[in-house]
Amino acid sequence: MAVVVLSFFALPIPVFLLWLVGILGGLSFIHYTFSQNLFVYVMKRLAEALFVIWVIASLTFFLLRVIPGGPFDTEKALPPEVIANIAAKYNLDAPLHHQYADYMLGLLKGDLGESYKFLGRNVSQIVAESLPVSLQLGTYSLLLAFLIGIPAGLFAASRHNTWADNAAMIFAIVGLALPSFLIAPILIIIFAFKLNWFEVALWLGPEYYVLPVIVLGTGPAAIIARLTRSSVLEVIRSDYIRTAKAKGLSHQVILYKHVLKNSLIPVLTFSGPLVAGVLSGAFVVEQIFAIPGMGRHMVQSVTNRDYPLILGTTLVFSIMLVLANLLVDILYAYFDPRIKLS
Amino acid sequence: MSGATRSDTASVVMLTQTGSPPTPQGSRSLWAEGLKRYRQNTMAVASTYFVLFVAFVAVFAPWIAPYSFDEQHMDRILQSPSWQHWLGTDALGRDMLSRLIYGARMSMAVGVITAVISLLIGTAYGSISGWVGGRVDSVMMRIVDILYSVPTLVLLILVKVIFDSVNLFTHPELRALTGILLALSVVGWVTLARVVRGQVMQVKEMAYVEAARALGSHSLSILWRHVFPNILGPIIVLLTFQIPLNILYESFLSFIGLGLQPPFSSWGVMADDGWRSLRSFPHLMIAPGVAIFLTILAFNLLGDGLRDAFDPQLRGRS
Repeated sequence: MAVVVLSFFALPIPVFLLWLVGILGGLSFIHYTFSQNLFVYVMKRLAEALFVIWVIASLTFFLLRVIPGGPFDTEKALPPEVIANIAAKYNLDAPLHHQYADYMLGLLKGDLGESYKFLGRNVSQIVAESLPVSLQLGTYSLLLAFLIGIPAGLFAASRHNTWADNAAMIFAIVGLALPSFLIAPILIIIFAFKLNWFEVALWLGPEYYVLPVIVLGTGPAAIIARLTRSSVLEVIRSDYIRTAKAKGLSHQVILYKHVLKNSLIPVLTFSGPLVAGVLSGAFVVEQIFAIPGMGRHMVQSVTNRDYPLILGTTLVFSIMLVLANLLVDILYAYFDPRIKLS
Repeated sequence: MSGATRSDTASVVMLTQTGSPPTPQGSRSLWAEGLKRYRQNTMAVASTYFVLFVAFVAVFAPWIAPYSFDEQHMDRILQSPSWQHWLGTDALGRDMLSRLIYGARMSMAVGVITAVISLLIGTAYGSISGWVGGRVDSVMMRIVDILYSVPTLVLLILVKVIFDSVNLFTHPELRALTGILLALSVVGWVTLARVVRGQVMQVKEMAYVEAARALGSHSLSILWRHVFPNILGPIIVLLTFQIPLNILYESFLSFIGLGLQPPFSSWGVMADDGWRSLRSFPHLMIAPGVAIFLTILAFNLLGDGLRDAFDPQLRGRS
């Protein structure tokens, strides 16, 4: 059992992502050769995404500069020379618009500024270390959610109003309400303390990944199951499925070739909010399992009032969400030719 | 064969839904019919009673709880459940049951207050955007899109950092609470605004709105007398889903140490206290977890029931 679960994580993430990017790139190119619609659409959406990220970066920058107090407020009053030195080091003595211009220029070069708390460390370095961890956690959890949620929803819908349907839906409703700090201790007690199968802290290998991924993936799996089920039920009632039945196609062919394909579109549309949910949920999961991801760094940076780190992590989180939404919209445009690209 | 029966029952359901003509008495009987449908939903009714129970406990916490939330018994640290302390005590000798009861007070208060505030902001914003339309609408929705591009918890943390440094109140309890209340309210209205906008845009095209406009009614009075009563159903359903969401986010914030601070008790604070000693004293984390789980489950079932009963268009969708 444990081995089967662990082998799920043997999928090296960079390879997986590369494949995804490769396939998407290929698809775009093929589509582009047939019609220029998608290319223009993607470019337009990319420009919009850049605008959104610029607004978020600027707003956060100014808000964090405007609020009173800071990491260098100490109980004892510092000598003015020290304060001046600190301000000079972090470019805080320049006029605000100069600071802003410097920060934006740095962003273009991928420089997120220097951390107030971790001396001599650049925020970009910290992000570079913690982002892959968070990406792994998030991707595995989403993958798990889709792998459980879609079959469960399909299964429930194909046995509509039977005990199996009810059981699957009760499972989904329960999964939706389970907070990570209830499911995590239960799993930890059973699988780590009693059975000793998996590790409960840090992020060093497959046996460390299992529990956090299950905890983070349960809620999304429940949402996907419910969504798939209701979507399948709706499609089953549509006219073209009646036609397919009238043609005498087998139940299996109808279910997999006609129903599943069409009913996954709402599931796909919902993937954007799903990614947002996983990004939020990761904060708690990273805290419980002491995973050195972006969420933990952001929480620590708030406690330390390490403003450059708060700013940097906010920005990277937002970029991740914006990109995920963009990807979902592009995939949506692919799989549903009925929608018009606007 | 079974497929045919299934679609037959489906079409019967459809007939009863759309076939019953709107009664001349108007909206009252529509609500009565919805209430009747709601009563038939056993799970939803049971959930309603549970939510009422939690609300009762929250309101009367000082009279129900056997001890105070911060009363320490240093001679009875980390005890297992006993007759004296039904749920045991925590690392500082505080009675877990009392903390759970006071936690219900904090969690419910935060959940309900912020949901109502977000609802007010969201309804106002959404109606303006949907009603006025055009350029105003696209600018307002662009702002919503930007807020949507920041993950909720990140936005919550950010808003809380900013409000915490403003120091609106000096009183520690008020200060602890205002940060969370403001953050959840500022963040929560976004989804509501989107839905309300959609609803308003739909209702705006209805013949009765056009008639009211033709009669020379003022925009505000049309909104108040014709639009709002017709979108009230979906709004109430949204409210019942927003409350558990906000309870969950409050507990998330408190759990990662950026929400309510001890010694105040909310379920998130208790979970945060508990997970440090999980191996030896799992009940410290399980108890608040179960409380949150049951409350959110009850709210979700209640919301599902309301939606199925009062919003037949959305029936069966999740």
